[in-house]
Amino acid sequence: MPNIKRQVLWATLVLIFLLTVFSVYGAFLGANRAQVFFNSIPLAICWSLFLVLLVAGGLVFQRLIRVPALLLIHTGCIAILIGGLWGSSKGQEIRKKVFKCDIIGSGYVMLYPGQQTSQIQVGEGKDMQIKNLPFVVAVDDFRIEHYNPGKLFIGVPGTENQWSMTADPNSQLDFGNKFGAVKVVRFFENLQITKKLFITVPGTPQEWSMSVAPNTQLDLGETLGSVKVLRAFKNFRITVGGEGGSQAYEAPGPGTNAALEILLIPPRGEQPTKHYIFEMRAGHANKDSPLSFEYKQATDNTGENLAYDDVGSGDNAAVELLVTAPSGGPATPRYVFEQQPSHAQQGSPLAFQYRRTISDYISDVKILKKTDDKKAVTQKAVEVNHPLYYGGYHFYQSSYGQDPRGSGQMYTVLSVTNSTGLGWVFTGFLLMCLGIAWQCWVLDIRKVLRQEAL
Amino acid sequence: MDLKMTPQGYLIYTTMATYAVAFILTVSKKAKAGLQLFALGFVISIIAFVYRWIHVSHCPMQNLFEVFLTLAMLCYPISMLSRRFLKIAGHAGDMAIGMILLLPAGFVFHAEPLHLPPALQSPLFIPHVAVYMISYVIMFKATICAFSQLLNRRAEPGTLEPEKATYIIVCLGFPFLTLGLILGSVWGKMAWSDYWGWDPKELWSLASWLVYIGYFHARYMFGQKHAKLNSILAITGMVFIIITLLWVNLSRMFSGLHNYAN
Repeated sequence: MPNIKRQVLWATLVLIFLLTVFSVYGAFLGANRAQVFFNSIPLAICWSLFLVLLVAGGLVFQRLIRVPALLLIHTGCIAILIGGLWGSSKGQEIRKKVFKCDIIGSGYVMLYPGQQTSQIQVGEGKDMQIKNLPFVVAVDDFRIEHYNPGKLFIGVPGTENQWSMTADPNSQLDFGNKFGAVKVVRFFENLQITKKLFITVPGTPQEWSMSVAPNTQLDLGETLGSVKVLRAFKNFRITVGGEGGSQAYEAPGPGTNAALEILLIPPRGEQPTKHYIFEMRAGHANKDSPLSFEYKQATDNTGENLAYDDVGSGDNAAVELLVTAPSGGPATPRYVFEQQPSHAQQGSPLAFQYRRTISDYISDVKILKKTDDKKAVTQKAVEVNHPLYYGGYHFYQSSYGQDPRGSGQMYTVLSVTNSTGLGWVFTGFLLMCLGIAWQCWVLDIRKVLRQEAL
Repeated sequence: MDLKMTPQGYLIYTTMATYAVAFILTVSKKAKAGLQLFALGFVISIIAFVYRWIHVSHCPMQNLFEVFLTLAMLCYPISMLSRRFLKIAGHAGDMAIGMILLLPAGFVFHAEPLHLPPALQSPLFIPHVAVYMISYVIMFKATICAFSQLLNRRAEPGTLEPEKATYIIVCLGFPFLTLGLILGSVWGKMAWSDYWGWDPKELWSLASWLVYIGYFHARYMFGQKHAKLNSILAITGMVFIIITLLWVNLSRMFSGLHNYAN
């Protein structure tokens, strides 16, 4: 082997050895410090040397050009290194200085559902800066989805006794005379108690209750007329003034202000009047009417609440159990809520906790033009593994949190990454992969087997 | 020790016992019976794999218990293909590998079923892990050949001598190893916003890949002149793979994005 070839090969072996050692060293540093290490000046020189050596290899070893598989592998490596260096934080710093342009490498956008912004937070801590994207990012909705049913954890406070079971209906655990027994009746993704409208005439024994489904009407007799439900709100809000007067509407966020819009239809053909009945404030709809209204949770004949699963409109996960006390006797129903700490049942030593695993985080993201009409140019339900791509940037579902002021509203954090150099890297991956498969599976294996056959 | 008195556990222990008897028969020169039992062990390992898939409702490659279950299932087809197409001996070694790979699944790692976290719900989950599993079993086989070379063992008639066998098996496994790394990188871009995150597991897998790159360049440079060096490099690659697969997940020294595999 001529001297120059030998030297290039030796240099290659030394560089491969060095990169292996650096990789192992980086693994001990942890991701953040490793990133800084591999973006440092000495390592940038090392990567560049690698690039030079690959090119030198091509010049010295004709075989690397002549054999297509080897050409693919080494060209692929060159493309990956170019893309990597170009897109790296060091590469971006150099580009900023040389081309005098303001590049946003990566950053974060934090938004509550219904909000929009073009501002992006770049860097952290002392280096944190606010920059402007060339478009507007809007979030319509953010939600967390879970696997259902979750797991029920059962413990005996003060002891080390602990059990767990998947909350599949009819699954049960029997602890005999020691702790009794637990059986799962059903699970709820969003437990709600059926609410009804209760109507009374104070001072008289007259009382009625009616369903709150829209357009339900109840006749209260000849002297009182009838009541008709128009709309039911989970979170009632009203606009004040404006064209067409005040408008009631359903506000986003958790249901904290349940209300009903009803129509009081007086007897004898008088004009019906519209009223609002609030869960939080029972009483007369208007001072002229003898009727008193209460919008509240309904119970069945035995006094039990009427629970139902209102899937999709909230997140009040719960499981309904039948708990038998250690002393025996009839099993008593009991609800365990995910969002509340468990507490022991009277007569039973057991404490419960219900937990579900998160299956997905989803933000409905829209990209709008910065022009006055704010026209939407693209939109996507951004979830883990499904980023949105627009204008050279990828938007990822990154994190979330709850309003620190206690409104209960959730916000989403989207991470935004500039994808410069990605094309080079992925093209390099493809070339390298094809080349390696060709070289190893076709050429090398065939060569050895052919030699053996001879 | 985590003994599993469940149908899943019984399937694992039966596979292990079958592989063990197959190994004993093969080394006692009853090769045909050994091979038949090896095939039976493979069938039971497939049942164990499918049972797990149904039990957890997703492809069982999420945690180390499932990974070892998958690895052990791959031994038989890789052994057969190597013999048939690459003239590589060593069924007994493959049976031993199968048995060794089931030890962690049978006695060490917990088998509690887990839901797939959002990051793992990707079309790249199965290909990324599967090609890595295939490459690991192949490289394990290459390591056994490399040890045979270091111990100056002779090849069976009609099969390749250990140094060449090591090389040819590394050639078989390396494209899978590369594809695993690249699919992981593409997945990283889709899930974590970057195709390379300098995570400890990523860096150890890059280091293993670089060791094999070193092996190819060294073997090109020196040929079979330093056969022992070639074998040592192939074994080093496997050591790095074991660290990538196990140490990174089991040691707190390397906390990172791949921790869910715990």
